[in-house]
Amino acid sequence: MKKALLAFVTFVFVFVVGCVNIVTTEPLPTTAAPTTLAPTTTTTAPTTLPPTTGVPTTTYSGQTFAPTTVAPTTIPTTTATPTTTTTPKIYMDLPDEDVEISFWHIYGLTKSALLDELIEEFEAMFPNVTIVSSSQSTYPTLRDTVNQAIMVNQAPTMALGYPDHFAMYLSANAVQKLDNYINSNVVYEVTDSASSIFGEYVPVSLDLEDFVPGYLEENNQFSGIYYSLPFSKSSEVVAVNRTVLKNHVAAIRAAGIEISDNGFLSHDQPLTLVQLQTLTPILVNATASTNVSAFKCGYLMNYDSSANMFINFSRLLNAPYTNTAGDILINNQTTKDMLNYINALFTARTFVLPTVWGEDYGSANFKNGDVCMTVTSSAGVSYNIPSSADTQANLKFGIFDVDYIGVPQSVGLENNNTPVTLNGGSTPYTFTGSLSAVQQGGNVGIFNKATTNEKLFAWLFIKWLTTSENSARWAMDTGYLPVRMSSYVSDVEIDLTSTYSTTFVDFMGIAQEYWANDGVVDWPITSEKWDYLHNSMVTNICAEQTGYYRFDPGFAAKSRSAGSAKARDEAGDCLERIYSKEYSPEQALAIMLNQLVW
Amino acid sequence: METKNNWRAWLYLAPMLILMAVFTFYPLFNAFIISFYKDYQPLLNQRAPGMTLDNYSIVVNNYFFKQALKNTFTLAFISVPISIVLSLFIAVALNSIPRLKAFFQTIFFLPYVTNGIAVGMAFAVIFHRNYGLFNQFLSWFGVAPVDWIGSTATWGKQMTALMIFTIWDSLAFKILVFASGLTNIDKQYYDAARIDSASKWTIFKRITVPLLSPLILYISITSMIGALKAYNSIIALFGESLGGRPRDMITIVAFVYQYRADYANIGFYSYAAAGAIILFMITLAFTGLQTIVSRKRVHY
Amino acid sequence: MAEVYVKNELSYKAKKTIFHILVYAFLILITISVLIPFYWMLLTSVKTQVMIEQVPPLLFLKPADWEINNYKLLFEVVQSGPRRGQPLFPFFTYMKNTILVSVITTVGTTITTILAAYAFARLRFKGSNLVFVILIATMMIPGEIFILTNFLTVYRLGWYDVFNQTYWDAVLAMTIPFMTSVFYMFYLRQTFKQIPNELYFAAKVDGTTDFQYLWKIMVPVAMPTIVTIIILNSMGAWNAYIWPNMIATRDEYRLVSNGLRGAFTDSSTGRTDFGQQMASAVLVTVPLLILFFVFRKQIMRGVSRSGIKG
Repeated sequence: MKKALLAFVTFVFVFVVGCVNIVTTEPLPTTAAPTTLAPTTTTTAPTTLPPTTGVPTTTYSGQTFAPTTVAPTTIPTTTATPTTTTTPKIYMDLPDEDVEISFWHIYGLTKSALLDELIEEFEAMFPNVTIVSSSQSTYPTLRDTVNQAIMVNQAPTMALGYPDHFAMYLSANAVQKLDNYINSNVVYEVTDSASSIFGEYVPVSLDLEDFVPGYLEENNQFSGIYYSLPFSKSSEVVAVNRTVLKNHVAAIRAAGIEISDNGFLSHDQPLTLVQLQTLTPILVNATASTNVSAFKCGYLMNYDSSANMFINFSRLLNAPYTNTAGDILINNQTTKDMLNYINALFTARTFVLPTVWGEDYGSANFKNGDVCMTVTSSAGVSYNIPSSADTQANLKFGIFDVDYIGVPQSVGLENNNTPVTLNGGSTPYTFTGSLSAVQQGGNVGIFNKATTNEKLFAWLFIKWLTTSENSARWAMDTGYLPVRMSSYVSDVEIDLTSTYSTTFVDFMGIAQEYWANDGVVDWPITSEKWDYLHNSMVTNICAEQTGYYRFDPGFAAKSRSAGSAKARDEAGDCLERIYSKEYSPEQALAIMLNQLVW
Repeated sequence: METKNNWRAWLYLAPMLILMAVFTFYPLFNAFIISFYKDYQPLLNQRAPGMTLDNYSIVVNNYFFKQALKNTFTLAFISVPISIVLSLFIAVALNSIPRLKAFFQTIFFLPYVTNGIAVGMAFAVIFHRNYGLFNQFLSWFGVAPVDWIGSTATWGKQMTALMIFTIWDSLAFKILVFASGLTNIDKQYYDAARIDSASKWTIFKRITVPLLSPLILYISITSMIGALKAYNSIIALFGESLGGRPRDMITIVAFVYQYRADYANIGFYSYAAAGAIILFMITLAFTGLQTIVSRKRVHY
Repeated sequence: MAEVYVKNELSYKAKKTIFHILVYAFLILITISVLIPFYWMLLTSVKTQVMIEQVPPLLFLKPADWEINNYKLLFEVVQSGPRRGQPLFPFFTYMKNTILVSVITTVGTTITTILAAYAFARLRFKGSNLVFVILIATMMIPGEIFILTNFLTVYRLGWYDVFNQTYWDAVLAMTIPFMTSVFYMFYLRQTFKQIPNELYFAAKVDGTTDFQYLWKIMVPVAMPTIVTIIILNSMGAWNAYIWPNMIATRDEYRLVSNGLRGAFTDSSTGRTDFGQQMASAVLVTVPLLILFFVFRKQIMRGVSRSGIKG
């Protein structure tokens, strides 16, 4: 309880004192008469900042919002902490008329369940608000439905979406600029006695400093204005069949690649493309089929998303692709070289696309042992772990051990932006090698046709979804990544199941302990650590990758060229065409160019 | 009949014409106009001033529109004749057997009364490379399993699979129509031929086909129109990717549909409209050509 | 002479027998080809995932080994996603909608068709040929291109509302635009034309109005054709896919075809559950087949006539 109180005070403090700008253009609710008189009890500053190190201290804890923290009457007096310039806060009563917010997303079974919990807690705090969450099953369906709704002026209040989507909505003038909320100086008093936070103060503003910088960059790419905030972020990681690797430790070491006795590759230094090419003859059978007795697979590395493969290779090799201005840049020699190089990697079976097995994703074939490693979304961890639920006859290596590493890079971490020569077949290609990992996953934004109050509560809901604690909770349960830096070092206990709770730090510690002991740990078989081991591995790998996350610019179509969504689709199709060998890299690129610029 | 019931006739036509005016002619007219719009943005209902022919040249220069023309024409020109000849043979065979005619006829009609998507999905399972029935069937003849509809299938293999499904799907209607057409042929033609001890092939060539020619013409025109509008069969067999490799089996309607579905992009709806108008012109041209060419050969 | 005759007769009989054997063999071959997809659909729907993935494929399955679970799962209520609170494949909901949409569309189509066919068959008026040709030409246009404009029209008519669309709004949106059919009008006109003119003039003499004549004489005489139209048209709703998907704001308003695609592909793994997919395909196919076997004669007669008379 004490901790909760402390957190509450921190929260109030940060938002009362920390805000900078006065709202100028965006009208805010006028239902309550504004008053500049702040209640004296709350203007005092808290004693301590969140007990975190190495992260911005301006975080506000999700605890503040949580129903369990209700402390409406006693607000302790505390000592001051230095802060920057302050502008007068405007205090208002929180609007209390009924508001219905429609939130469109794509979450399936498990993710919806947690989202529903978050919604319930939010509705307990704001009893006049009803959030109608509805799943549109997939991102393309979601985008199409939103577009259709925009056309008839019936957009939902808020929706999940990629920058591509928001760029499109923006070109239809349908999305709400969020900067006025972010910088608002309005603080609301919760006057509804039915609220779980009755009597507390809710500031509108949001301090962005704690958010992962790459995510902010992605969300304010539209001339520096925010139309969305990050929520379900993910990245790509590589799942590795450690059972196979373990049988080639000596050969892999002889090739100069770091590997532990039990087959763990380095978790902080990703493999380079050259190393992958070196590994291919060691781990891949001469024919495209798996040789179980020799512990060799048919292919070295599967890439689930051919579009991501194209885009991330463009980043790794500095081949121009698109830019935030919406220019299509693929018609250049570097991209041609890149595609020829990729083609050589396909031929050598260093890389494979899931279409070769007639699948959308390579997870089943990874589990079946057809391929040694697979580049997959960090949000889809569980699909790559073989288990007793799989058809045992198909698992060529049985239920093998899975490890995770970072996505392959063109150069070592210390050699960012240096020249690199890569051999595709017998042809050498020279590129400038850069570090890059795909940053993906949905953001949330608000549509501007909603009423002022709907927008206000939608905004407060976004704030609620992205509190440090909720972000951590969402991440541990779903496999998405926290959007706040402080989540990574959060020591707030979070209930994951009815019997198991852990802090994010301990959650991250699971994989660290496992790796430190070279996979030999004495956890009891019933330990929940086993259940969260792979999620923890992935989160650790992603945390390493945050340093070089690169987002895909989102832009709408122009009069004679396509938007980013189509560019993405065509990029994926381009690699699939090259893979099939029915088209040369030059032909595939020409088709892509034909589809993107006309 | 009198000629003065003008207004009354229009009254009878009114329900149909009003509905068609709203849901057929207006959208058609609209599409026609939109195909000349510059930078049309339906979400904002905005466009650049003036009209342009650019949308047509853009569509014609689109790689996948060319691909769609190739696929559509291949499909139409091969599957329509094959299915007509095959159904004609089946109808003649049906007509020549003493027993079980109704039984066979009923079975052959089944594809007509099923949901195209449901059966298409069944075909997709049958053509599955690893555990499909079709490859299993071929293996009995010593043919190694091949990829028919997957990412490694060649254009020819995909087209073959598509043809098989299309022909299977379209036989039902044709068999029934030809079979009942045959029963209407006067028996004395055949009796006369038999007296001349003409071979079965000669009878087929010299009597059956000429007497059925109006029907064959009608069926080939309607099948041709249907084949030029092929879309559902591709979706059913290949899914939204429209081919083993993306858009390998794209057809003109599929092209129109893709750009229509992406209408939120500037100009895309105009491209879809232009594609549809081109298809309309092609269909019209073929129907006219078919009628003219066969006028000489059809015996009414 | 007699010998030769006997010989000829024998060889003629033998030839005839051989010919019949060949013809039956051919027809049986075609029968098998026609039935295989149905068989495979049914077989796959009762296979477990393991059996489905078996190579070489299982060609037969004893009823004792049938996996009914695929069907059971279709009816299990899902907890999330667009079909939250509904079964994975809301067969009965979709079926109810499909039947309703089908009945309303058919009633509407039949009425507009009878009236228009009568005008073209019996009444002379200026421009009748032009209108007729224009109507026939519309059959050649890909309907795809109508969709967006029709969507906006339906919206303006108030039947599409993202948040407040009622069930009846959706039903209207799915039926009204489809209440005409040039093909059936054309077909019925041919039938009407065959009714002797004498009947018409006799009725005129009796002081019967055109309208009475249509309902009292033309319609009863053309009843077999009209029944055919009714049956064929009512099957159309079974295949409707794109439009209901676009126009229905809630999953509960959709039609059976919409239930077939997507639901059985796990969006996170991209893997399709062929067993469940085929089970749903069976569920959609069976009612049509039942309908077909009940009205077999009328349907087949009707279709063959529609083909010939065209």
